[in-house]
Amino acid sequence: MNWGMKMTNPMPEKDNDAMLDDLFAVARAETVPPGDDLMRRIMADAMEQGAGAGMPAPVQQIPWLTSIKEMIGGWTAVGGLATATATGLWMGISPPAAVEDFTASYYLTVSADSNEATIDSLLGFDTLILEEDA
Amino acid sequence: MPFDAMNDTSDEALLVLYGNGDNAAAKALALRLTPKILGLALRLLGGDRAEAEDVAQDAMLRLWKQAGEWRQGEAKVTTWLYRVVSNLCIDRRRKMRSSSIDEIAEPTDGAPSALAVMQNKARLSALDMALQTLPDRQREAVVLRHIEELANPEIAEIMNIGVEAVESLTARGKRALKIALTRRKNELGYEDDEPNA
Repeated sequence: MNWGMKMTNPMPEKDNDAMLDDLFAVARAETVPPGDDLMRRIMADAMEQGAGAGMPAPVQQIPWLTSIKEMIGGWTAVGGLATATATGLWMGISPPAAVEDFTASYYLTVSADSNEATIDSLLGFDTLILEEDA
Repeated sequence: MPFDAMNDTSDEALLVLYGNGDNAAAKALALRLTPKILGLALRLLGGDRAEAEDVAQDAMLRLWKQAGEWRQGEAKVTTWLYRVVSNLCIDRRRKMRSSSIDEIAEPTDGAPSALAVMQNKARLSALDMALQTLPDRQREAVVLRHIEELANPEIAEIMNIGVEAVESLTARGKRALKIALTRRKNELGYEDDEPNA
């Protein structure tokens, strides 16, 4: 720096630099203490924002249908379950002939239209198997 | 965390603590950062204290809102905050230009008794006025480099430009400042003055 010496006109470039450096130093040295009012406003904002940010997230209530859906594996599983239920219901109401014949022969059950007695061998199924094997 | 123990805690860690509900961390951050951003806003706004305080509050509010999503290691809090302050100041200057720039040209002066204090105020006022003559980006680069003393790479990050562009802006800004201030060198006492710094 070239302080204290008389400057010529035009001012040499290095003196211009020195002047500017000094002005920057003055600006750097200036302390800018925030006033109490500003700090109060800033902290009020912090408290207001923090009141929401610091709270734990609310527990979400899950509808019972949604929880069942999630339990069995989502919409894909629900679709499969619905299809199987409808198919079972339909087969119960109006079974195909092949199924009816098979069940009739399996349970040794004759048609209800005939006047013959119905033999339900379900309870003696093990015995029946053993007899057939013998 | 006790308030006294926060002096050694980084800005980023304090912000995360605040995001987790620690209000003492917010107080520590506010006390640490507000003087910095207030000073920057003052220089960028030509010494208008009321406007600078509004900018500081607005910038800190944005920081509070950001706290919950802040990820440590991605950016420095000060870099992020300086960018916000710079952008807010540019916005405000544009609005002020459309109303009355003359109102901010002359900063208010108190009643300093010491000659040195008066001279410093006059010099600061002259610097502020000269800074106001620069284009926004030049002024921002000069203030960040020569008053906030940030490194060029950080200024580049704040201004979202390359380091070379920062160097160019600061060089052109300094040249323009010298031209503006040379005319007032006698008035500012730069002929037979003692060094200031």
